[in-house]
This record gives sequence, C-alpha cells and structure tokens, in this order.
Amino acid sequence: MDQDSQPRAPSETGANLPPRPVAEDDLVLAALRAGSEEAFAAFVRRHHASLRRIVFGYVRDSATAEEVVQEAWLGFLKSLASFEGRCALRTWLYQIALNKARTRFQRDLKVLPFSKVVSSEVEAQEVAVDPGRFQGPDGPYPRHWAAGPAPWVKDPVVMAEERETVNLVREAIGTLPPAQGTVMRLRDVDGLNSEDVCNVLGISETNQRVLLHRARCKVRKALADRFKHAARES
Amino acid sequence: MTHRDPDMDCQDFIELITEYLEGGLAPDDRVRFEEHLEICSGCQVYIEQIRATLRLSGQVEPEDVSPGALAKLLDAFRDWKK
Repeated sequence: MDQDSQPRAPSETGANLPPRPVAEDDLVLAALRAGSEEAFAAFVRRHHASLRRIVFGYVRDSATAEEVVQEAWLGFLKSLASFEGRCALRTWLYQIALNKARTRFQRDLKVLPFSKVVSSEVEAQEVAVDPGRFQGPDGPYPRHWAAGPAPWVKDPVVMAEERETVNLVREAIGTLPPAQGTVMRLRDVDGLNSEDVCNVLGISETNQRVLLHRARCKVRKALADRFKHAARES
Repeated sequence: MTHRDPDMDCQDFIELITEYLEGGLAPDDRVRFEEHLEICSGCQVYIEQIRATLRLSGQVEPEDVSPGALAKLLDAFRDWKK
C-alpha cells in the first residue's frame, strides 16, 4: 500500500469495479435522441428489472410495480428532450421511477415508507462478522482474529466467469433486507455512485454507507459459506 | 523486527472497510487502517474477498424483461420519435 499521498480515483475506491461508466450513458442518450430503437431496447433491458425491484420496495405488489415502472419509462421519454445531463441518464431514470413510486405509495398508505425501512435497518445492532471469530478480552490480542477467514479456493477472476458464482451473488443480494438490497443493487450491480444513490433514495450519505457495508459483508459471507463447503467437499 | 501491536484491531478494521473503499476515512484513520492491513493476514483475506464480492456483483446480469412489457415500451418509443 504505497498510495498514501495519492488522491483516490473513484474506480480505485470502488475496489476495481468493472466499468459501468457513466460515459456509457452519454452514448445511450445520443443514440436515443437520434431515435435508435435498439439503444432504447437495450437500455430498457438493462434497467427495467432493477427499477421494478426498487419500486416493489415501495408498493409491495408485483403488478403495481410493473405498472409504475411502465409509467416511469413513459415519463422518461416525455422529458428526454429537456434532460440537461446534470446527472447520469440512469440516475435520472431512477429518480423518475422513485418519484412515481412515492406518489403511488402516498395513495396507498398501507405499506411502510422507505425511510422507515432504512431507519429500522440502520438502527439494528449488527456486526459484519460473528464476534466469536475474534479473540476475547483474555486472549493475547483481544478483538483480533482468533482464526482468520479461510481464503477462497478459486481465483476471483475465474469465479466471475462462472455463471453459478454470479447467480449465487444475485441470490444473496435478493435475500438481503430491503434497504440493504436496494442500495447494493444500485451501487454494485447498476453502477450508480454514492451521491446518486443518496439522491435517488432520499437517504443520508452515512446511512447509505451503513446499508452498503452490511449488504456487502452479508453477500461476502454467502460466498464464503459456499466456498468453504466446496473446499471441504473436494 | 518486533511485533508492534497496531492501533486498530481487526473488529474495527472490518467495520471500516466500506468507508475506506468509499474514500471516506479521515487521513489519520486511513493511515491506521492501512498499517493494520500491512500486518494482518486475516484482514488482507477479508478485504480481498470484499473486493471480489464487488467484482462479482458487477457481473450480475439484469433479469429478463417480459416480451409484452418490452413491446409496449417500444411502441411508446416509436410514438415518441414521431
């Protein structure tokens, strides 16, 4: 680690995420404005399911979620000409969908507002790793690993090429508590940055980080559990 | 070289990983974090696994859109183009 004095580029602090660059959205915008149906279809395929999941977090009904997302796309098209590019195109799309979801939510107050979901998840006492994995107060190094995490048997680059591993990640994200799942999906799957996620979800930077941390640690654990089993079996 | 007990312990390190990766740690804390990382093999494994988790998440493909929904949106796009 010799980068102490270097300012961190987003790609670096983002742990070398594969590029899901915002620049990509500029190309999409140009293509949409030029009337490319292929570009629109690809953009829909890329974001529709995520939008539906996020909206589902508000409306808690699949048919309503689909309806709200359809409305969001129509709103997106309607205002595309006036989009000024102050944020990434996808961020803007998510904002439209979230606004529609919130409007729908206000009509149907049976469901829990997202802010309540966020605060209940953030306020829950939770640690990333079972405290039993660390040395107790009488150990030679209290609060340090008693036995560190086992390295994974496979190379992560190889793992990323395996559909099964990626499916496992998808499933693990799917089982996260709703606010954590939404934040991780937006950040790590859909490629929004933290500022965008805070804006889209209307949450503070601190809460976003807490939710993201808990989410990523749980997904890591799901992978660790699987690869531990794999190692034991082979 | 004698073992120097670092300021940061593993439990604190784990809970600060996301803040570190987000570039949100104060400079002093970042130094303590990186010093701990230098000497702690368990935390090196853990943070690498978090990085791998992020890379894998970036590979998750969007789910399929139902053909009906896509067709409706393409119709709307054609109308919009007019």
